[in-house]
Amino acid sequence: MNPHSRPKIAIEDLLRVKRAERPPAEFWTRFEQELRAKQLAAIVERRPWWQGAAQLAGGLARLRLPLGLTAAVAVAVFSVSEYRRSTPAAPENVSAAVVATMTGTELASDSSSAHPAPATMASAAEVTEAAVTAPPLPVSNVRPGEISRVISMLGVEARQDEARRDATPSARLIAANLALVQMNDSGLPASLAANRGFETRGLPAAHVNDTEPLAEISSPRYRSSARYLTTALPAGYVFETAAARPVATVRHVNDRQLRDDNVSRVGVDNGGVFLKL
Amino acid sequence: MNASKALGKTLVASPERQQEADADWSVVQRVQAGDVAAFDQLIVKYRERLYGVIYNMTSNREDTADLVQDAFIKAFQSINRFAGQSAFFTWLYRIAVNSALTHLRKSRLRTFFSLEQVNEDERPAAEVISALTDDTAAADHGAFVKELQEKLNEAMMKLSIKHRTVITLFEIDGLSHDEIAEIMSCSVGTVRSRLHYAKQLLQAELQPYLRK
Repeated sequence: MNPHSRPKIAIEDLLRVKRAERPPAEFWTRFEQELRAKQLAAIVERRPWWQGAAQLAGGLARLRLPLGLTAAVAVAVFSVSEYRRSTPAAPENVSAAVVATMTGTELASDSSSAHPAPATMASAAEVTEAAVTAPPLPVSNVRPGEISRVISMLGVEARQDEARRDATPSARLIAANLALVQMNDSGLPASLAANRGFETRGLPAAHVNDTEPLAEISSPRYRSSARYLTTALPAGYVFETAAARPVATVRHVNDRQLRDDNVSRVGVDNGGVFLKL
Repeated sequence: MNASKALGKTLVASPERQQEADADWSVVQRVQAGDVAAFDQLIVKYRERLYGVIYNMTSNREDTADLVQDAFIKAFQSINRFAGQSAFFTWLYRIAVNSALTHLRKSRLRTFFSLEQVNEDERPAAEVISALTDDTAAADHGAFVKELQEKLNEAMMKLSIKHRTVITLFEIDGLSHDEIAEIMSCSVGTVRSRLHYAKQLLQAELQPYLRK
């Protein structure tokens, strides 16, 4: 046979042979019986819960765009509201507000003469905390005399025990500083302005307060730490040891005491040097 | 929504296809209305075509029978969700092809051929077989056809699942590129690319049987 007379056979022609692979007619009878049985079984059989969930998800898939947009808007609104709630009301000038409050209170207390009314004003610790967290007060906003008023207000309690504190060297030093500040009060804002980085704030009450230092800690975090410290320290321990203990005057200090670094405080008083061991 | 309108949107369908889609849609509506027996018409209409597709994907008649039955049951259970967005046969094919792909992925390492008889009376196949066996003695004719069938199946099984599916739907079932793309949820370009690659591989495998 002439090879040139042979018909071409391409891959598509070969695949037509595959098309001719068919099951016999009797196969379909059996196929139909099996299909009926499976249909009945599928009707009787309870469908698992996740198929229902999948159907529901399939139904919701049509609404995915509006649902997604709604969810995005809800999340955005919730985030913004939470952010606004968590952000503190930004005061224009907390320090100024503190100063104004305290000076006003002082004026009120001055007007009521002998009764300073400490219950009406914020506690010294709270004021201190607010002053620390507040932005710096522009020096130009501070009037001469206000700082000394603040200091004197913070020291309201301290004045009550003034006589007792005078007995200690540190108390005398603090009193001298207070007096100096009050004397130079008019020139203080200018000097503060010249000193970059220094923030014009009310001095914390701890400088003149007579109470236990740990008790003055205002932050809840530090308050709990102070409570633990208090329980950890031996009973009857007094922090202000310098004020509580009588100052003993000694003429000779043991070399060993100096060498072992037992000196806790060094000061100059009445033309002499005193050491606290 | 009218199925023919949907078909016209997505596919460049022939008038015969549109008529077929309309007829299917009316039957589907009857089934959705509660006429369960009407679904049998759809089974009888599509069972052989669906069987041919799945059989050429799996090369195993028992698996094929199970998969086609499962596809019809799934379609029956979900018939109320069919909204006529596409032609019914496309939807049914998608169910069946996805079931077959899942089955083939699960049993990738377990392949047993279980082949049907080649119906040599069918015209295109008969012409090809006669052209191939014109030099062969009549006694060896049956053996040659059997060998050709096995070689064809081996070559098909060497294709990846997706390439095999595309070549089956296009060359054996005669679907268009658009229809295959809709069934396989891919682009027409992907279908053409897979078809071209699959044909190249098959040509390399079946070179002894080709004549230029």
